[in-house]
Amino acid sequence: MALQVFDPTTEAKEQPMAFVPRPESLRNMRIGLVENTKYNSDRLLLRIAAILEKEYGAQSHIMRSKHASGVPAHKEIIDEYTVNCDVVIAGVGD
Amino acid sequence: MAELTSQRYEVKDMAEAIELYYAKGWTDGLPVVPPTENSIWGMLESAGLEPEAEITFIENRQVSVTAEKVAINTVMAGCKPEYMPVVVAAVEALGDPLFGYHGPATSTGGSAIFVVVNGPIARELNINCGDNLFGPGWRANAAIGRAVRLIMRNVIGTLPGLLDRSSLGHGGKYSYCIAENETDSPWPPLHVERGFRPEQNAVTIFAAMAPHQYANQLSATPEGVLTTACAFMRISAGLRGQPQYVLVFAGEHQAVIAQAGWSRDDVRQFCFEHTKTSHAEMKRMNVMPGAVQPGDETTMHPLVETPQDFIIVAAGGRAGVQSAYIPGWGGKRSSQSVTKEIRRP
Repeated sequence: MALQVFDPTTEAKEQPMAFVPRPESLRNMRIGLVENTKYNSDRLLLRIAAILEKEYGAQSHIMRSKHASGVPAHKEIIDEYTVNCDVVIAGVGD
Repeated sequence: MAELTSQRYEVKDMAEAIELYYAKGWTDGLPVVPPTENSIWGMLESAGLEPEAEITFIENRQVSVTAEKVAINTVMAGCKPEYMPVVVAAVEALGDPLFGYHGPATSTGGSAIFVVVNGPIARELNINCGDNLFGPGWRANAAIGRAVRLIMRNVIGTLPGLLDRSSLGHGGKYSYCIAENETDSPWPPLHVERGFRPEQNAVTIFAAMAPHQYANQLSATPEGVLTTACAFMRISAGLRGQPQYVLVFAGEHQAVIAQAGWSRDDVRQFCFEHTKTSHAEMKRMNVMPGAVQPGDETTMHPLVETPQDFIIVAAGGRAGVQSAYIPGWGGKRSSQSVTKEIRRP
């Protein structure tokens, strides 16, 4: 006898996503570095910032650390970067 | 009357249904029980839930986990309808910000969801709290833990190799569910310690590595047993993030501790003091960077942040001199154990 069985997955629902326009150049941009607390992530981010400043004319950088690698950046970081940064670098993995 | 809204598939028999679920990538590698209209409603009715009810919302995935999807996966895992409220409570806990789903679900660290059931329901459902505690043989343990993982996979999209990037993982990712042995335990039940009444039912979830077994057959004192436990735990001090730890004491060790009248706090304090590792030792083990400096031999790194981060559970066979510790995933700042009430209509 035929049988009817059911899909166990979540069917994706469409939802709008907004992206901030990307800057055309990094010249005079203030960079926010989101450090994720993993070994050497601070060193890697600072090297990236140095390259962006030296070779691409970025103005300055600040770096703040998340509470832990597995959690999103906390409100204080987001608030500070919203006011003081033009571009943000995050997403450093293992 | 509410209706099930999930997509339906027509198959000619159970064997074809099982193969369909494989072909769609909806199993954990083992065959599933094909969910039918009747079996799904059986689950929903057992928990007193309408299909569209939201059990939890996984913030970082923006996924609403509905009762219907929980029920479907709970059937697939091989659960009886009366297990459904336990699964629902565990899923509710997954979405708790303290648990922090994103880290333990996705990390290369490869944790499983350890589920501890407390209260009268554990005995009603025959959830094993004794012999072969982490092994096979009990439907409730196997199916409840499996349901949680299938929900993570199918509903939340935590697919191995994609969103779940565990380097190694472990067997607990198939199923990792036990009850506490409240009858023989030297202590009040775990859920009572966490603010519930003894007659309430509750589930505790914990992002957990595999159980590490140790044996001590020489000691008739808590200090003796715990000295062994701490020696074994200290080697895991490389977990720099200071996760919580579960300590599972089986029958003979429970009896030794009970005889001496040690409370959970006594056990915790002893373990906190005796699991510290010097910075020098951590550097020699290559789990802390840099060369050993003056003072490193006496600068101590506690295994956990506070004594309360040892979660103590009485469970395991009555005979034998084995107990286990279970390191948590990552660090307490990323994920903590969470306890939720199991509600039945």
